[in-house]
Order: sequence, then C-alpha cells, then structure tokens
Amino acid sequence: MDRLVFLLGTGLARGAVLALFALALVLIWRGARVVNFAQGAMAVVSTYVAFEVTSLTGSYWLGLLAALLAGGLLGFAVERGVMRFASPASPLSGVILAIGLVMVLQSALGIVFGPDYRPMRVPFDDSAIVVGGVPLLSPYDLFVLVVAVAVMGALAVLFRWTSLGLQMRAAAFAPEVSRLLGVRVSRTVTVGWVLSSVVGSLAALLLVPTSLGLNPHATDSLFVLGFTVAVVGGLDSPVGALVGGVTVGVAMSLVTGYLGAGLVPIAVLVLLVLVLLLRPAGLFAAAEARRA
Amino acid sequence: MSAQMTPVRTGEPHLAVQGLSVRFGGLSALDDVSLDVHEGEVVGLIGPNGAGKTTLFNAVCGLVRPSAGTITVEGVPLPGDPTRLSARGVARTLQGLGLFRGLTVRENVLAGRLGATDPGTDAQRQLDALDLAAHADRPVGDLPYPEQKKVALARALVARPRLLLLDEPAGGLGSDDIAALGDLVRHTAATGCAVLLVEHHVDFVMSVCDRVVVLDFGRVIASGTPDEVAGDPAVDEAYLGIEVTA
Repeated sequence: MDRLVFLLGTGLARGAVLALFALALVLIWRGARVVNFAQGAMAVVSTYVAFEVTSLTGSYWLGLLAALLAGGLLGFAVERGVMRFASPASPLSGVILAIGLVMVLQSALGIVFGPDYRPMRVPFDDSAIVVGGVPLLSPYDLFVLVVAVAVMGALAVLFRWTSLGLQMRAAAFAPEVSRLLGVRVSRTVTVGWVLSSVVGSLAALLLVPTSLGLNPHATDSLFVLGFTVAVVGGLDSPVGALVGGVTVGVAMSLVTGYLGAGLVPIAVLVLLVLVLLLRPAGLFAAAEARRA
Repeated sequence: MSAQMTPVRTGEPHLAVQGLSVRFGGLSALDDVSLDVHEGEVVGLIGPNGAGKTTLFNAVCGLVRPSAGTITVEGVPLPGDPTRLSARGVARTLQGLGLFRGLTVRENVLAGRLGATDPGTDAQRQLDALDLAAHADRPVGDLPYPEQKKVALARALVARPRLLLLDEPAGGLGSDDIAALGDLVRHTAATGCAVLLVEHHVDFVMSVCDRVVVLDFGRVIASGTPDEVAGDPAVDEAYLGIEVTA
C-alpha cells in the first residue's frame, strides 16, 4: 500500500508535466491547426537558456524566468518567421516546416553545446517526504504539481474570463467570422504560439532535471509522451490534456513500479491504441468536430 | 428602368455602393452595381441563386476585393478590412449562421461586443431582449435552429450597429418565427439603424422592406418599393423565366 501511494504521488507529478506539455500542443492545434512537432526542440532551447543563466548567476529562479522569456520569444519568432508561411491549403506543410525546425534547432544546439548530458539542479529536495512511515511526494514533485495546477488555472481564467481568451477561442472555431467581429486573427494565432511555447518550455524545465540531464534531445521522449497525452485526451481539448496527462503519468508510474521501466513504452502504446480504437478523436473530443 | 421610380429620400445615405464590380477570374459576379441604404431604412436585396447578392455583402465586408466602384458608410469609404467593420458600426449575420459552436450562447453574443467597456451587461441586455437568457450558458449547438438564428441576430445587434447586413435571416424559420423576425427588423430600423437584407423569402421581403433591389447575373435589374418591384416584368423574367415582350 505504501508503495502504491508513493507511485500514485510521483505519477501525479509526472502526469502534471505531461499535461502541461500536451496543453502546449493543444493550444497550437486549436489556434493554427498544426501539430507542432517542433514543440520539444523549442522547449529544449529554452531549457539551455535556463541552464546557462543559472550557471552564470547561480540562481535557479533567474534561469527559470529567462527560459520562459526565451520560450515566448521563440514562439513569436517561429510563428512569424516560419509557420506563418505554411500553406493553409495543405495540412502537411505545417508539419513539414515543424520537422525541419526540429532538425535546425537540435543541430544548432549540438554544434554549440555538444551532445553530452549536463545535469540540471532542482530548487527543492527530490527525496520523498515521509508521513506516518509512508513515503509520499518529494518537495520537488510538490513544486511541480503546484506550478502545473497554477499554470492550468491561469490559462483557464485567460480563456474563460478575458476578452483575449474569448477572441482566441472564437478565432480557433471560425476565423473568418471572428474577423467580421473585429478579431485580429493573426494576432490571436501569434499569442497562441507564444503561450504554447512558454508552457512547453515550462514543462521541459520541470521534467529535464529529474531525467538524465540536458542535451539537444532531452525533450524527445517528453514530446512523444506529450503527443500521446494530447491524442488520448483529444487534440482539441484542454481538459483532455489535463486528464490524459494525469492518466498517462500515473499509468507510467504504476507500470514502472510494479512491472519494470522497460515496459513503460509498451504500456503507453497499448493505452494509445485502446483509446484510438474506442474513441478515435480522443476521450474529450467535442461531439461535433470543428472544421479544420 | 424601375430605379427611376425609387422614392427620393433626403440626406446622405448611410451605405452607398457606387458602380461596384467584382470579378472572379473571367466571371463577372457583380457588374456596375449601385445601391444605397438610408438611416432607419430596410432595403431588401433579392435575386435568383448566383445573382451576386452574397458577393455584394462580402464586398461590403471586405471579404472580396472589388475590381471597380466605391463603398462608403456615412460618406467615408470602408477600409476593405473585415476586422475594422465593427468599429465602423457595421454588423452582419451569415447565411450558415456562423456561430461558434463550441461556445455558449452568452459567449457567442459577447463575441459581438469585443472591446466594449462592459460587454457582459450589453450581452445580458441583448439576451433578455431576444428571450435567450434562459439558454445563456448552454452550448449554442444544443439549441434548436430557430433559437440559433436568434443567437446570430443577438450577436449582430449587441453592438448596436448603425448598419446591419442580414444574409437570409428567414431561411429555415417557420411562419411564427418569420413574423417575429419581421417585427425585430422593423424595430431595429426604427432605432435609426440602416438594414440591408438578402432573402429568398419574397413575402418576408415584401412585408418588411421599404425598398427592394433586384439583382440578376450580377446586375441591378430593378429597384423600388416592394409594390413597384412586384409589378416589374424584368423581375418576373428573372425569377420565372417569363419573356418580357414590352
């Protein structure tokens, strides 16, 4: 039982990070109808910024802030400088541009920083807190959970209760109609990319310190898992990203704890196949899909 | 031509379309079309399918670029940018409703009042006015079609437009709903709003509009009061294929 509680706790923290990353993918999909295959590579660029700033200043928090700013700038630059030129007539053009961007970013990082893994520090202890003899979350896991919940709450407030959020949602559903109502759709798309890049960067920053460390491919597995979560939840659904993230995170933790880490990829694949067989559009897909 | 029988209205027209032509490649969708709509006036735009009615709306909204002609609102040319229409007091409904189906009724109406200082109050007022308040927090796609039509109207009216473009507002509605729609259109015009509507429901047009403009193959073939247009042989020919002999 103690083991189960511990695994559920760590799974929840891992799931929160996956949910954040999936949310970043959902934001782009809803706004621009592009699966951003460059999300992981963009996030790893921000993580390198955090690593460098933290190394220079000794402050984790300055590194975090610099990475989020860099993430936002990168999102802006990618949308305005690359993705805006994707042909709206061909859904594949955005995907191809994103894959090209992955190659460029990861190659550039490899040239500048080399392929070695660099350990990243965490701001809190990562050994589990023991309550009544039962190991629960580590302070770092708790930090990850609080940050993830706070970011999701902030995004919910943005989308539900602000004019900008309403404009972004309206533009995602019907861009031409939104224009007639005064929405500057190109601006909402850019804001979506910036937000998505910041959220994706944050997810990478939270996850990389708990994995092997930082190298140009440090977020590859995060992208694969985050994409799985987004598909399981429904690419259109922020709530789906949240629930899908927690589901996949907890499932990964339980499989690791009880069956071995080697079976995690197979378990995730089985979950993905099951969801695609039973609900091809994802668990939380809208009853009536939007027009792409 | 019937245009000569159009009643003379004083003052500058609110919407003035002069010599408008729109071409799609080799196809002439609109050819030298002129019409105007005054404050407080309801003008109907009718014609067979493909006559160019919606193209004219799209040109006014900046969704298609005219090859010739001018479009002015309150004497000032429209910018040709749909995002600046609402700032010029222009609102439009669309043939296919054009609602944001993933949003609630209230959010759809709020989307018509972006940038206002108190959009929530304005939206609630409009929801109350059209008896939609009870459905305010339901997804708009859950409502029956006539109610969705009302939401589209509420979204157009919430910003209190000075020019309202209605694209087939009576389409798909029953007789009671059409009668209520007619009252609403007349009431809106009575507040000073200029209304231009495209409609296939001829009885509705004839009962609601002050003037009617008839398009066929992109050209104005008749215009005047509903009675004048109804008696115009060119209109009979366009609609019924009756050959004009006189």
